[in-house]
Amino acid sequence: MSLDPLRTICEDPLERKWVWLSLIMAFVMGGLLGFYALSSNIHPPSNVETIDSSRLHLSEEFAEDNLGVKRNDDGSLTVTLVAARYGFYPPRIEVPVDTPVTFRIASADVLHGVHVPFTNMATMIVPGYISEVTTTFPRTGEFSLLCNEYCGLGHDSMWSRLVVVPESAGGESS
Amino acid sequence: MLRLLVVLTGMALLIPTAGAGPSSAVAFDVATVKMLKAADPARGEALAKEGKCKKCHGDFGISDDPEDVNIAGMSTSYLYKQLKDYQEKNRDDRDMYKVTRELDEQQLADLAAWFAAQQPAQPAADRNMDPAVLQLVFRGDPERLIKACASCHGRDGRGGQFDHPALAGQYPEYLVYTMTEFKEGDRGNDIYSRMRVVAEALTEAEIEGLAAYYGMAVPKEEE
Repeated sequence: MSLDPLRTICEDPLERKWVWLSLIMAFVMGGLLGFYALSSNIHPPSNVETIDSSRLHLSEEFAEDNLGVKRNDDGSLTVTLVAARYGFYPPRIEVPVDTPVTFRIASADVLHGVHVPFTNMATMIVPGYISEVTTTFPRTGEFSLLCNEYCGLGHDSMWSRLVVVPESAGGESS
Repeated sequence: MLRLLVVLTGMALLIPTAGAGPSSAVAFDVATVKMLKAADPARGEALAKEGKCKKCHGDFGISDDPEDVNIAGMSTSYLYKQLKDYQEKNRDDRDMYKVTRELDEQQLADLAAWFAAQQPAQPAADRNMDPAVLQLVFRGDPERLIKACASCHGRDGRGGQFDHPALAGQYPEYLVYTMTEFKEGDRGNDIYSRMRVVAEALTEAEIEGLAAYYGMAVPKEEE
């Protein structure tokens, strides 16, 4: 008598082989993810900081006069952005090339995402949380910030502009 | 280092909302939404009579004067926000400040609920159907970061959630007036400058074209 535990739910030996193969693949991949997460200290990209999205414009960090690009003491930059149906505010930001930029983004309403095509800048923006992602833009040019989580009827209109300028350009848009 | 400073100065100038304080103190948090849901239109009707709202807004929220806003049928949340903004001088209008300054939040909500319950005006039958205007209404203009009007104000122009007003059925003259206010920075109670960004990118001709699309027919004696 076979000891195969799948025998009670599946009679066909060939089908059982495929089920075993799928299960083994899932366990191997899960194990690899776990191994790398633990050995390399990899965290999910989300930043667990909460904020009241309904009162976002009345908060200190995401107040309307506190948005945009700011320089930190170590020379890196912090960009404070708000995602609200249907745009990112301020709608146009300009950062220098080859400089670490930390984006801190909060949603004023529903679930949004942000993605800058042709760069590795992407994160979800969950209402009630502050999303934080740090990256460096290696190429100058004009890029779009796009919402990549369906957020409502105007989702396809939700975009704004990111301009990466050479430091030597004196801050002029390319 | 000097160059970096120049870059950073340029960045600072790009922040469009630099200024003092929030553009509106209204937040649609749970407490505010509950208050708006519990608002009583009957109390609002009495307040409207007492405050003589009809002098500018007509008996039921539709004005006789094309320069005034038609408030009939707008959402309670939008009307409440405007009343509160007038009261706190985040939207500038001396007359509206005078009539709202003594009212408490519940009374503002009641007034808003009364006018929200009225029948809105209809857009003109011969509204502007210029393809370029329809493109702005339903598609926007990605190059100029102009969102489609319909995305926030609804495909029928009857308004969206919370602070997105109805456009359909306004007088074209009022629409041009208030859009120009946004464009020139004279009106700034749109949280995160969402309307100012769009209005600044629109030309005067486009604003007039959009007003002729959404606007109601102007009574003959007013033309």
